[in-house]
Amino acid sequence: MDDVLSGLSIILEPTTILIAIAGVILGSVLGAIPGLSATMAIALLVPFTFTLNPVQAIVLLTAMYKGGIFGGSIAAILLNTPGTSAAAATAIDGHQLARQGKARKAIKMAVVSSSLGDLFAVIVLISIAGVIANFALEFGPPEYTALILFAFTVILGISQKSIMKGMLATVLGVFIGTIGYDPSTGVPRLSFDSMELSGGLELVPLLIGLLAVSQVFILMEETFLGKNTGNDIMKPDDNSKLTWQEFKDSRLIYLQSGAIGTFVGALPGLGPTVAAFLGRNAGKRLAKNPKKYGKGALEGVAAPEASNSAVGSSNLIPLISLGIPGDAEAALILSVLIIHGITPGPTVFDTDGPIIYGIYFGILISICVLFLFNWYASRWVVKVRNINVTLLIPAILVLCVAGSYGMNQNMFDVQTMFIFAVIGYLMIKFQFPTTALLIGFILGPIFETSFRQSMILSNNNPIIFFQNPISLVFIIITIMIVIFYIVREVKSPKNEDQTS
Amino acid sequence: MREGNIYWRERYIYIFLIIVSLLLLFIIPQQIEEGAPRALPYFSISIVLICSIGGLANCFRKKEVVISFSKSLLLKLGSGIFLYFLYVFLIEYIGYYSLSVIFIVLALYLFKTRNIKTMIFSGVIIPLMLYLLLEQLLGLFMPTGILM
Repeated sequence: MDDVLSGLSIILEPTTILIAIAGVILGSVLGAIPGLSATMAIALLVPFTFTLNPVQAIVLLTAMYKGGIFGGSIAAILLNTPGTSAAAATAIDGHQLARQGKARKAIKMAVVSSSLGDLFAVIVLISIAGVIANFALEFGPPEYTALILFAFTVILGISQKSIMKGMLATVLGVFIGTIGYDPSTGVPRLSFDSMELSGGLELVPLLIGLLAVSQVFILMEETFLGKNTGNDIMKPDDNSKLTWQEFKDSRLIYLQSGAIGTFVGALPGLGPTVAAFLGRNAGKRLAKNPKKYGKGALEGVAAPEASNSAVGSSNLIPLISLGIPGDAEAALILSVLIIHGITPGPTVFDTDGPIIYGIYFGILISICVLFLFNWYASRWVVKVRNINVTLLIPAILVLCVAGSYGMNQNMFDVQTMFIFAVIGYLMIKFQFPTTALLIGFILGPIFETSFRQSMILSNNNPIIFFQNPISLVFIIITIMIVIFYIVREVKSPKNEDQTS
Repeated sequence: MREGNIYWRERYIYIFLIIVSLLLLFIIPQQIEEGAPRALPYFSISIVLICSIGGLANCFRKKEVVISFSKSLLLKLGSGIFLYFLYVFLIEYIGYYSLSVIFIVLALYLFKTRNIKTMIFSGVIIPLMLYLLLEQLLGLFMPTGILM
């Protein structure tokens, strides 16, 4: 209870509340610009959170992420151009509503369902994270090794098209994570007598390169192809109020889709896009008029929005309780926590309880701000679509350099960022999951440490992983997932071709 | 297949990764002392090698991504990325803010922005705002080089 009150006192500082408001507004504006994803926006922000306290830093990132995810939905509804992939499912019914002159009704339904779906996820996060963390206190090195192995396996699912690509990206990330000092003995590895490499590669420039600059290169390519020339904004009908009856008609959908999004978000590697489509499909069964679904049904907006927004909070469940980031956003939040000297995992409630509760309250404030801001300001937010993307590209690239340089103030980090930007660009073009590489890089050293500790405990006998029921269960599930992936891979369709 | 286009095949990625993996398998004994520290680098790069061989085999089963660029697009995109490369690698010699001005103006020119006012305005305002944010607000001092 003391931790809860301490957390509340941290979050009620005016600066923190202002940061939450600024994060939601900025995220909503950026998310509404096609090409600027929520993840990219928060990747850019990471280096600028060093001067904030941990709660303010995480609140800024989560507020901006939530705003970004919702901003993507505004563009999806009005222009049929999802600002983020998570909003693609919303575009199906949302844009139909806009074409029928009910754009603001659709946006208001999206605001309501996003807020409620997210609220559901936060309640689950607050209820479950502590319980899982307590359970995880029983974990020793073998259980951790098996758990991370399980997380790696689930993360392979990020690459929907090819398990091989997911595995390649993850293991490449693990290998890159081995550069630098050995975690157990402290001897340098693969440093090639370079001072910069002997300390290993820094996470921040790596993620800025992989997640932000690589996307800017894609944006550059689209600009040269003339894809970012702007669109005519459809004028919303003035008579598009969301009625109490319409709100009530979707009450079961908020709950169902919120639960789907929460479950999907808690599993590593699936993310808001998968959640949105699953939520949308499930929502059809609860719709008042299923035949209208896909042709401009309000339930078709409510269902995906509740699901994709729920992911933004539930992806913190494995991160806070086990220290395992399930997606790019969680990986970014993990990096910020580590920078601030906080190690998420089973003991985090004992060591940094007030900070974790402060983050919970911060997320709740962000949801309130998201609701109020987007409910009243949606008609003005739409105008950001008029921003010329070509003006943003150089600005973002210049900012990325500052962000990469900021942590250690050395140019090697900036050069690392550039190299990983090129790698990230090629990965996107050839459909390799960049997030898998990032998570492999983060979890690799933890996996190595726990594996080697297990081997020391068992005198190099791998039987230790099968003696503990917890690690045995994780290994069995991992094997089952691998079998499922192999079957899926064998049955996958052939031939991909892209033309630029 | 369009005539005059440049094609990048997925198999090139796998061939590159196979070469790099084999090279690293030879380099690891020279770079890492014997015993446990070598285990994960060996294991992970071996998996990379196996996956790359598997990926290459898949490509020959006609399961590969082929990206095609028109020559003009590749030239423009290549110029953009090369411009950023120059910017990144010259900052420490010239200075972050002055080079940012040049970079922004050149990048806008590359994106066919021909309005001189817009170019100068963006080229000055963006670095100025960054200067105020980084140096005045956050106390983060960027490299100065021969200029600023």
